[in-house]
Parts: sequence; C-alpha cells; structure tokens
Amino acid sequence: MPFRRFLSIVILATVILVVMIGLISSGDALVIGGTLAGALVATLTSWLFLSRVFTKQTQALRELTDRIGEGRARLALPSQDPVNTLSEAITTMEEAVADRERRLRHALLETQMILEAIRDGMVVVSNDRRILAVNAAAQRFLGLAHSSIGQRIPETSPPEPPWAALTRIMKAVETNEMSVALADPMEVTLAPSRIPLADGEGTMMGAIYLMRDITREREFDRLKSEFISLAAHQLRTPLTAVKWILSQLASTEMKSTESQRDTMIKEASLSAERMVRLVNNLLNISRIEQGRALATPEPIALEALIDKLAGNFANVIQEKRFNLQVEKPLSPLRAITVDPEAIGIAIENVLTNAIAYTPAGGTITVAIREDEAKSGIEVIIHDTGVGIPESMREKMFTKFARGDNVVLLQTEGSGLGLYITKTIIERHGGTITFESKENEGTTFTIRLPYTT
Amino acid sequence: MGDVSSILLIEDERLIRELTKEALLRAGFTVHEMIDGLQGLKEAQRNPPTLILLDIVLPKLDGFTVLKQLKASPATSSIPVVMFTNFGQHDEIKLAQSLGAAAYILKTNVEPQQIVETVRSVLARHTS
Repeated sequence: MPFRRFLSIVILATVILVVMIGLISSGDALVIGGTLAGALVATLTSWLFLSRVFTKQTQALRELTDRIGEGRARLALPSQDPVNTLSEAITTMEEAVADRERRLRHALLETQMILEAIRDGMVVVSNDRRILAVNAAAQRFLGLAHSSIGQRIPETSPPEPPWAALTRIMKAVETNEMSVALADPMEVTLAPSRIPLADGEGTMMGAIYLMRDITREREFDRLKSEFISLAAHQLRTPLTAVKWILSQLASTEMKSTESQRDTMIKEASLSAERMVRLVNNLLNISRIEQGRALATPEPIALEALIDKLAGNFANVIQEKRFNLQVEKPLSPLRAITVDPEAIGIAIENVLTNAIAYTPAGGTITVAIREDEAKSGIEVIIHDTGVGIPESMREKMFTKFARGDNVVLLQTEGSGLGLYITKTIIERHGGTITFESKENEGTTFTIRLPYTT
Repeated sequence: MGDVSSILLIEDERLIRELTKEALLRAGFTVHEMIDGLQGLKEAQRNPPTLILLDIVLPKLDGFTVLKQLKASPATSSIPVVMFTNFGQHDEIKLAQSLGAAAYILKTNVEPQQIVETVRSVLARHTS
C-alpha cells in the first residue's frame, strides 16, 4: 500500500509540473500560478480523504480475508460503503467457505466416528514408520494408547512392549500369514491385511494396516470340526459292530451254531438301529440349530402328547418291570402352542434317559401341571435310577459331554439327547433343570410358557 | 512264537469287546478284559500283560490318560500298547504316537482278523 501511495504522489506531482511548465512558458504566470495552487490544494485534500477511506476499506477487507483464512467468525462490512459490491462478494465467498469448512469438519468427524466404531482394528503408518492414526479397536487389540499417534515404531528386535503386537501384525502381512493369534494384551485372533497409501502421483506415503477380529469364527470352526470328529466316532462304533458281525457270518472257516447266528443277526440289527437313531439325532441338531425345527407351532394338549410318548415305551416298561406313573391335573390344562414334533423329541429324550439309567423294577413318574404363575406348563420327570455323577452335572446339556482333557462320552447313548432337548425347550422360551442324587434318582423339570 | 502271550483288552463297548476277544482267543492268545480306563490301568499294574489293546473313549479314565500313566511307570512302560479306537483324526493319531503307542487301529477300517495280525506283528517287533 505505501508504494502505491508514493506512486500516486509522484504521478500527481509530475502532471502538475508539466502543466506548470507549459503555462509559465505561455506568459500569464500569476493567474495560472493561483489556479495551480488552488488545484493542487484541492487535489491533495481529496486525495488525502480518499486515501484514508480506501485505507480503511482495504484494511477491513484485509481483516476480513484474514479472518476467513483463519476460519474465525465473519466480519460484516458497512453496506453503504463505496466498496459495497466487493464487500458483498467477499461476504458471499466467506459464507461459502464457512459452509464448506463445516461440511469438511462434519465429514471428518463422521469418518472418525466410523473408524472408532468399526470392530476391525486400523493403524495408519507412514513410510518412516510413524503412526498417523490408530482406531479404538486397534488400540484395544494391540495395547496401543491414543498418544502413540505421531510416534515412530522402533525397529528394535525383539520389539519393545507397546510395539510388540503391532510389529507382529506388520510382519505377518509381509509373510502373507492368514491369521495372527495374540495373547498379550488380549487373547484375540486377527486376520491382518495392508492397503498401500499413495499420493496423487503414485508416490508411496505409507500403509493402512487392517486387522479383522476372527476369534469367534476360529472358535466356531474348532467346535465344528470337533463336532464332526465326535459324530464320526459315534457313528463308527455301531458301524464297526455291523461290519464285524457280517464278516463273521460270511466267513466259511468259522462254524457257528444256529443260535449263535441268530444272536449275531440280532446284535447287528440293534447296532443298525442305533446308527439310525444317531443319524436322526445329528439331523435334528442341524435342523434345530438352523431354527427350522420349530416351523409349525400349533396349540396342543400336552397331556395327550405325554400319554402317547409313554405308550411308545410300553414294551421296555413291561420288560424291565418299571412302574410308570403319569400324573395329570383333574381338569384339562390350557392348550399350549408348541411344535408338537420337536417337543415330542425333547420329552422323549428325557424319558429315554430315565428308562436307560433306572434299574429294572424302578419307578418313573411323569407329572404335568400348570406353573404357579399360571403362565405355562411344567413337566416333571422323576426316576429312581443311578443318578448323575457330580462330575457330569455341569456338562449335562452340552453336545457330546467332554472330560477336562480328553473326550469322555456316555458309553451307551449318543451324548446328544439332552443337548437336543435343551435347545428345543429354549427355542420355545422354556427352561429345563434337574436335581439328582447318585443311586437315588434324578428329577428333570421342563417349563414351557403358554406364549413364547 | 510258541509261548502264550497275554493280551489286556480295555474296551467298554460290549459287542466290540466280545468280537475282538473271540478273534484273539481263536489265534491262541489269552485275553483279559476290562471295561473302563481305571480298571484297565490297575489290571496292567497288577498283572502286566504281553500287550495292551486300548480304546480311547472309555468311562472313568480315557485311553490317552491310561497310556500316559502306563508309560510313566517303570513296571508297565515296556508293555507295547496298541490304540484301538474309532477316532481317526490326524491329531489323535499323532498324540497316540507321541505318547508311545506301538500301533493305532481304526476299528471300522479293519476286521477282527486284522487286529490279530497287528497284534502279532507288534509282538514280533517287540520281542526281536
């Protein structure tokens, strides 16, 4: 600004000088001198005035642009000003800039929120191993504080404590490892990956390290293969019996008597039956777990269903001289809406256990009644059997009950019955509990609500 | 081998146990049967047999634990143990080998006569 002012003065002075010289040379010096002095004073005065106004305006504009640049609150210019048009344009621009900034801030906040909320871990690392960003999940998985942002990852080997997990992830990406199981700071299995970060010209600036938490998937995989392994074992046992018996029957060198052959055929048939039950149970599990078993709920009289189930056991009850009692209330119970087939399987499994684990001559009682709150029906199945050993109680309802270190299966049954029962009952919104005393008996209580 | 080898058969499945026992008896072995891991281990310590046929899924004490304890005790550590099971997973076979099992028989894959053959070959290897 001072330069322009100086320039104006020089130009003005030059013009005045030229005019003066011209007039002086024409002769009428006095008149011209007076006029000239007047003009000069007038010019200087107006120039001073204008210059002050302009200075004030430009200063205001300057301040305004400064403020816009800094993103501070807007500055209103007096509207009656000569530079009004310019001022209005600037105000419009200022609004546009503020709006854009607002949107940028919003977008940034949104991005930050998304990154924080994301369950996968994310770490942005620059080329010189400086941490540019770490989201909440990565902080948790890798034990990094928020303050690690801006720090350089040291290249010490072995890596120092706060960097060990991240260094492990970075190495895993380089060696194409599919998963990394971390124990410290938390037990988690991560699937790491890397996205290179390049600028517009394709120059590498760093990388985004992503780590997906696959702990649950891994656990699910493990349980699944364990299930397959156990299911195969359980199927192979009766299959072995069938195979061996058939080979013995076919063998010409072994001369068996008629009655021996009959026994073997009966055994093979029983084993085949066991396999059929097992396959059905496995399929039931698959159906129940997919939620397909409860496709057709309908209102039924539970008493009738239990009578029917008890009837199915008539032969074994007679054979083992059981005393089976079904206790029903005097007046019929309200109908209950359930999947009759699934509930049939559930109750049948409990009855099968009661019969299998009660010595001949024992008593099995099935009591049906409305619960105290009148919100559902209770089915209580009591036996005078061998009871459930203390060590088995916790595992009663798990799929193929397992010992502490190795598999310990029920030797007779499939180890699936009660798991199936519990799943079915719970899918109906009900519960199943038991009480047991070794060598005295077991009581299972199934509670089913009228409305699930 | 002219002498009579005694086999301890630890197996809880009645039918499998009986059919295996019959095949072994026909082959001229003497057979002791035990139906759970704990009884089996005690019997092995009381009357060390020439060879043990050991199931894995057993009541009370599982086959792996029995095998470990057999190998840990000087009185029984030299008795060859043949694992006899329907667990055919790689992990179980590897575990049995690492614990010192002499052979691993997958029940469904064989017939009783083949068990006899495996027992014979393990015994031949063991005594030579």
